[in-house]
Amino acid sequence: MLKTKASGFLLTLSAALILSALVISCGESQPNTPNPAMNAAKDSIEEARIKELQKIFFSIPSPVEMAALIKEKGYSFDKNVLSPSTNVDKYTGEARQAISLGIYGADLSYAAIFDQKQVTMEYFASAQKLAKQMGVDGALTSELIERLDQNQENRDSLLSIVSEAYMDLNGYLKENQRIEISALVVAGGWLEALYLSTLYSENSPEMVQRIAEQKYALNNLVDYYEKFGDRPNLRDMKADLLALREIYNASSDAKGKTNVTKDEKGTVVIGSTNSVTISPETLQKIATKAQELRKKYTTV
Amino acid sequence: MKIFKYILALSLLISLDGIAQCRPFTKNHCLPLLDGYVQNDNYNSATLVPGDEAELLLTFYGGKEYRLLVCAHPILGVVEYEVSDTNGELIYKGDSSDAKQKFDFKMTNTQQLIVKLKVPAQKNAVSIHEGCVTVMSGSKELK
Repeated sequence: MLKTKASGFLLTLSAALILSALVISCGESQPNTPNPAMNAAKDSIEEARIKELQKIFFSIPSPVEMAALIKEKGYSFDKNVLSPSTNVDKYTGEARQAISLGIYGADLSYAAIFDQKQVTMEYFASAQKLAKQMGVDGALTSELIERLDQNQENRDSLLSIVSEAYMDLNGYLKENQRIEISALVVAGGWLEALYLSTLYSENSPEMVQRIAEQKYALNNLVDYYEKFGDRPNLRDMKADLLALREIYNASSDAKGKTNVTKDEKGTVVIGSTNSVTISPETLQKIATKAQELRKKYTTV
Repeated sequence: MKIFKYILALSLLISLDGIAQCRPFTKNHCLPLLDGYVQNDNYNSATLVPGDEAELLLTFYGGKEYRLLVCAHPILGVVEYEVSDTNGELIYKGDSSDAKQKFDFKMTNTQQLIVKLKVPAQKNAVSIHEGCVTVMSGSKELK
C-alpha cells in the first residue's frame, strides 16, 4: 500500500502548461489572478498521478518465504501437490492465464527451495510459455532458462534467479501498462502459497501461525484491488479475496508495542507483542476455501 | 489546436509517467545490493520528482533476517526514508546515500512496517529532474 504526495512544483507546472494550452487554443486572454480552471487541472493531475503511483508501490511477502518454512519443518518435496505444468496450453483468457502465471511462480519457488532442479526448469519453461501466449514474455527470457541450467547445482542461485525473474516480470507488466495483469499474477502466487501451506499445517504450530499471519497480506491485497475500482479482469479474483477475508475476520488480532534492540553484532532486532491467531475451526475454513479456489483456478 | 495537443500530451507525460523504465536501474544498481538475501519478488520502483513523498506497507515474518534497501538515481539528490511500525513509532531513519541505503535487521515475530520516502524539494530549478526510486527487501533465515 502506498500513499503519495506528489510534487507541488510539478503539478503547478503541469497545470500551467495545460492552462497555457487552453489559452493558445481558444485565443482568449486570461486575467493574472488565481484561476479555478488551473486549480482544477492541478487537482486532477495530482489525483491521477497518485493513483498511478499507488498501483506501482505494493508489496506482499513472497511465496518463497512460505515455501522456505515448509522445507524448514522437515517436509519432503511432493511434485503431486503442484499445479501440473503440462496444463499450460489449456489456460485461456487473459485473467485466467495471469493467475496461472502466478500459480506457476509459487510452484517454481517451492521446487527451487527443495533443490528440485529439473522441476524448476520444467515450471520455468511453462511459465515462460504462458507469458509468451499473453504477450508479456519480455521478462521471462530464454537467457534466464540458460542461467538456471548453468546454476542448477546451487540452490541459492536457483532461488535468486526465480525471484529475480518474477520481480522483473512484475516490473515489466507495470511498465508496459499491464498493471492489472501484475495484480492477478501476484494474487495467483499468493493463493498458491497459501494452498500449499494448508497442506502442511497438520501438527505444525509454526505453519498454522504463518497461515494466520497471511491476514496481513490478504488485507494488503484487498486494499490494492480496491485501488483499481470495478475492473472486469479483476472482478472475480477480488470477490474470491473478499470471501477469504470474511473467513480471516474470525481471527484475533492483538496489537502490541514494538521493541527495538541490538544483538551482540550490533544488528537491529525488531520485536513486538503483535499477534494474530486463528482457531482450529477457522484454520479448517481457510484450508477448505484455499482448496476450493485452487481447484477453481487450475481445473482445465 | 496542434500546439494544444502537444502541450497537453507533454504535460501529462511529465506528470503521470511514474511508470517509466526503471527496470534496468533496479536490476543494475539495486538488486546487486541484496547479495546474500532472497529478493521478495515485488517490484516497487517508480520515477519520482523533487518534492514527491511515498509510503509503502511491508510485512516481515518473525524468525528471519531482512535487508531493506532504498536506492535512488543521484539526479534526485539524497532521498530520505523512515521505517516505522503501524502505530507510527519510528524504528530507523536512513537515506539513499551509500552509507545509509541498506537497513539490516532481524524480526523476532511477524509484523508490518511502514517505509516513508521523501524526495528532496528542488529550489530555484530551471528544469525538472526526475529519477527512479526503488524500494526492495530480501530475506534469509536467522542463523
